[in-house]
Amino acid sequence: MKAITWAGPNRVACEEVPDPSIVNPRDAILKVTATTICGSDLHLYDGYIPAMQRGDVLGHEFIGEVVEVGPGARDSLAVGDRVCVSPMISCGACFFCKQDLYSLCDNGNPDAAIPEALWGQSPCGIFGYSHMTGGYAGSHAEYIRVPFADVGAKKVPEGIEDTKALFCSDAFATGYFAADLAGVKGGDVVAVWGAGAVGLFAMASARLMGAERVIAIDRFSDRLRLAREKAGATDTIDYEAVDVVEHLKEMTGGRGPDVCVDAVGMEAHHGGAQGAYDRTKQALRLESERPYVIREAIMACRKGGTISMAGVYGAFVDKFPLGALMNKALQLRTGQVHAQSYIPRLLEHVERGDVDPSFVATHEMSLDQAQQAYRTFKQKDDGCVRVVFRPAA
Amino acid sequence: MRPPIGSRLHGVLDYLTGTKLIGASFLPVLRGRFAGKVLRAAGASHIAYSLVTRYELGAVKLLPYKAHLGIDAAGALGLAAAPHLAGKDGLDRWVLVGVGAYELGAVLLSDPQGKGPGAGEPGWRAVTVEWPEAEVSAFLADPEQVSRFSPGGDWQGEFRLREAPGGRGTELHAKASADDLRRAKQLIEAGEVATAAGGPAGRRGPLSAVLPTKDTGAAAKGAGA
Repeated sequence: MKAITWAGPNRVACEEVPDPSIVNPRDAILKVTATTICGSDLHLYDGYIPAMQRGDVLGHEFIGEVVEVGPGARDSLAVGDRVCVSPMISCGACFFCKQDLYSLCDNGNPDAAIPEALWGQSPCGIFGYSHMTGGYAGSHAEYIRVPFADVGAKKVPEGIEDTKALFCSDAFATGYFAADLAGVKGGDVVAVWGAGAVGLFAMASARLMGAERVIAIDRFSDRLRLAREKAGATDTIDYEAVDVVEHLKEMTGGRGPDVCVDAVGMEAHHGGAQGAYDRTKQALRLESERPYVIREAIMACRKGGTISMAGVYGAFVDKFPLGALMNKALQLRTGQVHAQSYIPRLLEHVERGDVDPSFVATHEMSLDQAQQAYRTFKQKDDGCVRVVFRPAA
Repeated sequence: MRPPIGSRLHGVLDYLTGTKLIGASFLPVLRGRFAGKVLRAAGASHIAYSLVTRYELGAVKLLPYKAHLGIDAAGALGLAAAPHLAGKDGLDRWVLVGVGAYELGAVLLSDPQGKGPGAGEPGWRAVTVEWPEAEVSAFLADPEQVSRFSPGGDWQGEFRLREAPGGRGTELHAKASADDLRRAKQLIEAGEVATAAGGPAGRRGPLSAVLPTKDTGAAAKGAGA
């Protein structure tokens, strides 16, 4: 079958690879009907996540059709089912899964020793996301093996078309999770850094939860326009045009936003001296992240407010404003999305017409166009927000 | 008191130091200089022998940990001596003597037994599993299960069970490898051992043979897939 594989920093390839097969009783094999490149895939593409190997199949956000089911998953899945799959590979039976904290699953990562050395404990496994999270083959392929499919693959109700269901797998789930983590409630002012798919869905989700004002922060005018027109943002800030912290202060009557969402993560952009400082340190591998967004969010957030970290970080940062975090009594909520517990809820929202997630699907390409697809998405060329592949078509 | 750096932390420092020395050699002040070249070579060789060291973060476990520490010490002295032997002074000397002193310091603070502080009895590790004590006992007494979680036959059967506080299942303390314990927990809770086998990969690069990852091909074979 065809699959997109990592070929080194800034290089991907479309290769012929063997078909996947059932290994464990709770596995299923899916024909991938739609999959998309996630912003977090760019951290792999750019070479910032260690433990990538040439030949690793990329992709973790997908829907598909079940073509084979292991004996342990037959109670919940059957051949022919259309399913939306969690990027997180979780057992459903450990202490964490039982509390719906699926991304913290103890049993989903066969290479747990690597994150244990770096982070103390290991999170769950993730499809197509380096050997830190299990080395599982990803979804940018015609077929995929889904471990613990009885827990991770959720049936898509008829009538929800592929493109709408696809983003419930990760981008919508993560955006919704970010707003949910922060406990957004009626009347809140919510600022969201990053108007990529996750940020846009965090805005839409904050509105669903009753936020009165949603402020989108980005530098691309087409993304800010999407934020206003499709994601329910009431205000936008171009961070290259103004000082974000001062501007937010003024916009919120000096209080600062009640909730700040970081939907950017480790490869944020910043001009000026701060940008040069972190870029240099990161290039010399003296710092693994460029943490402008989380710095700004901490400085901007109102006293006693909540910061929700949906963007991905890998290791260490410098000049982290710990004093502001502590003295302003902020709450910092974090984590990879517990997608298994959100997907069914989001599919209901989509079915009811509360949100149509397909607005982020700006581009469609074939697996053969791997390099072009990744480059277009990374450069945000041609107004690109998300590229969708339909390998089974 | 036991020296504070255990073999796991030492391994983290090895890779960090190796990459930082290489990174530093590209700094404008060092680029093209004697010190820059020596640092780059030192960084690269440090990573190379770390990859073949017999410790947690070694990819191919060949070189004994004590021998690794010996190479560290010799390398540190070599770095400090290099500018003198090559007749360099000024910046070259300060940088290399400084890095040599740092490396020697790291060796002196490392526990030659590899344990570091906080290590309990040798080889004792623990996991918590979501099952009552009696069922965990029965699981561990079943030879078929033992062969599944300890395929290498390392399991000696030396363990203690303790009820976890707050109804959080059972703590399994055992003299066992981390991998055996992890697999036992996976089998108890999830009924199977998580693996990336059965998921294909494309053409591998030259480094893949030595990187510390699971070989999907070999694992798939064992499962009869």
